[in-house]
Amino acid sequence: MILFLLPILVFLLAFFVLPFGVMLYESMFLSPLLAPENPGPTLANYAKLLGDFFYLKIVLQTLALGVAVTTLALIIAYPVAYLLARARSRQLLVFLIISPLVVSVVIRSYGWMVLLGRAGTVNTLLQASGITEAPLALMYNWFGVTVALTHVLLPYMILALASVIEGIPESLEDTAAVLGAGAWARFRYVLLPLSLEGVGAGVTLVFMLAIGSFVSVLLLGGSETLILPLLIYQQVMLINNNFAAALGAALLIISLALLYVQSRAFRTRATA
Amino acid sequence: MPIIQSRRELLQAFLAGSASLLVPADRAKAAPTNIVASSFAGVWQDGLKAGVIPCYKAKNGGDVALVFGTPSDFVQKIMATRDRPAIDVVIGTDADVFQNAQLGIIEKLDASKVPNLARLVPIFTNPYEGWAFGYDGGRDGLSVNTKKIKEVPKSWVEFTEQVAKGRYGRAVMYPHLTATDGYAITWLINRELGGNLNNPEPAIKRLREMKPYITKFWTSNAEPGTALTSGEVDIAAWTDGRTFGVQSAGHKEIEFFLPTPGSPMVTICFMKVKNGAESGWDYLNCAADAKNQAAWNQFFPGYYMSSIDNDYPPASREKQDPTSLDKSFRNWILPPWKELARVRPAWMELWTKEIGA
Repeated sequence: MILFLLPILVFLLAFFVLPFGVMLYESMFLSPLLAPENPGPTLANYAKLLGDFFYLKIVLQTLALGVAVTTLALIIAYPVAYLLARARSRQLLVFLIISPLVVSVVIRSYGWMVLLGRAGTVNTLLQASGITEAPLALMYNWFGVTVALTHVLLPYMILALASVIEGIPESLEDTAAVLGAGAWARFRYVLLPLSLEGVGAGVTLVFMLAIGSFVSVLLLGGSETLILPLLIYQQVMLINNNFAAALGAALLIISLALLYVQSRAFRTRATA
Repeated sequence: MPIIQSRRELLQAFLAGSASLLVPADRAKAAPTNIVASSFAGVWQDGLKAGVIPCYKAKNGGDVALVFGTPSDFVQKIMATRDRPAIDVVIGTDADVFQNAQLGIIEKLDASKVPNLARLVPIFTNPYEGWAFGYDGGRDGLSVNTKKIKEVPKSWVEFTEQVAKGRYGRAVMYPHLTATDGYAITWLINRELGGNLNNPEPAIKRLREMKPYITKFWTSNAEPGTALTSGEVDIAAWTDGRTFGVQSAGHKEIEFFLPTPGSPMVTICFMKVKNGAESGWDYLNCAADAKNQAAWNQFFPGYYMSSIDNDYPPASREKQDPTSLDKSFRNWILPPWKELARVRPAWMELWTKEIGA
């Protein structure tokens, strides 16, 4: 058994544990640009991160973006996943759902820029139809970032949900219907409890990807959409790798903690 | 005695594998005349291939492998491979020169090994105190959609006042402080508003007032071009060369204006990486040569080159700043890059907190 696991353990050690160790180690020093005399190991980077409300606010903003994107993706994805799981012929649907993943996230983000821009398709249609007089600010703000990220991450949620819904026998829904359950009751008391594992997997996956997203936020965000990955990028640009490492460690620890909590919560509820 | 005695050695051990991946295979064979030089992608490398690289090959017999990225990418690669650097000759902006010197990854230029240094315009060498030489000079100014904006601000301060009043609506782009142009322009505006190196508050206060009308603080030099041509913004603090590129692509309505008191001097600098190949000096000498600079300039008409011996074709001359052509450089303002490198972290922190992403 150990022999079978050895390759993956070596892989994890080499490409996850060791780099994470280096990152933690780096985070214990100050940038040579800030402290050329190198005062040695210090927790100053973490003190700055935890002791300054500004940086805590960025952590909260990052988490809030993750919650917003995950919630939207879940609401949109569930009916689509249900349709996919129950469809007789799935090939076209699967292709339509997966096809956005074939396109680079940069191209998809630029696509949203064409749609949401001041002179973009949405604003042009809104103004032409008389709904708005002036262009709406749909981009370079939280709205644009949330819309684009939801689109980018939606396929992950759909696929995670569909794989679980597919395993729920249709006969259970039919039985509930025969017993007088309406559509909402069938969803609430049959489908949802039995698909919680898929909800958990999708929520975890989308949330992790959302709080670590960079390209879409960089291209579609504005001055207020500062989240941890962007802040890390800024620090690396300024060769303050040490503070960037502390921020990276914080992001990873938050992700791992949430992953643990979510997996525990959904496992407990799914098996209850 | 422990095998690994210092933090640097520990990191080197971890990074040794990845460092070897960064070094091209031909370099790993330790051919002494093959070097690795950094470049920007696209037309920039085409310009180098037209003059500097053939010059090096002819003089040295070796080859030049180009690596592409941003100045920060280059610095990160060099820092990870200090003793046997992945790059021998590095380019960067003015803001990077003293930062790189402080990081100890570049060495002072040796005039005896780069004789063409003597033929460079002093404004391209003096500010860098021997750590680098400037290659091409471009101006920062205002790129304006003249179909939308008829009255162009005459000065930088007027520009900031008009933006803050909402005169152009939410259709303005301004460079982020992480971009060297952003740092240079913000320094100049701060100076014009009464601030100084240790007090960036006047500029930050004005930028806070402008912020509701700034569509985006651009971080990539390509962003304003896309935004101006798509109608996303009508006015942007940007560079002359990039604006000329947009005009060449058919957008004649986008014009460049130079506000008073002028443009901060921003150039791309060439630096010799410490512990890099000795033949890097030959490459630097080729980069400082007028003929090779002229070959590069064909791809970037409008940029002023640093060699004093340069002459320019009419198409390039008509786009250049007249005060660079007459070598008075009255329209160019030299930012104190050495001091700016020192205060950059403090400015950046204030910017991040007050202005945002």
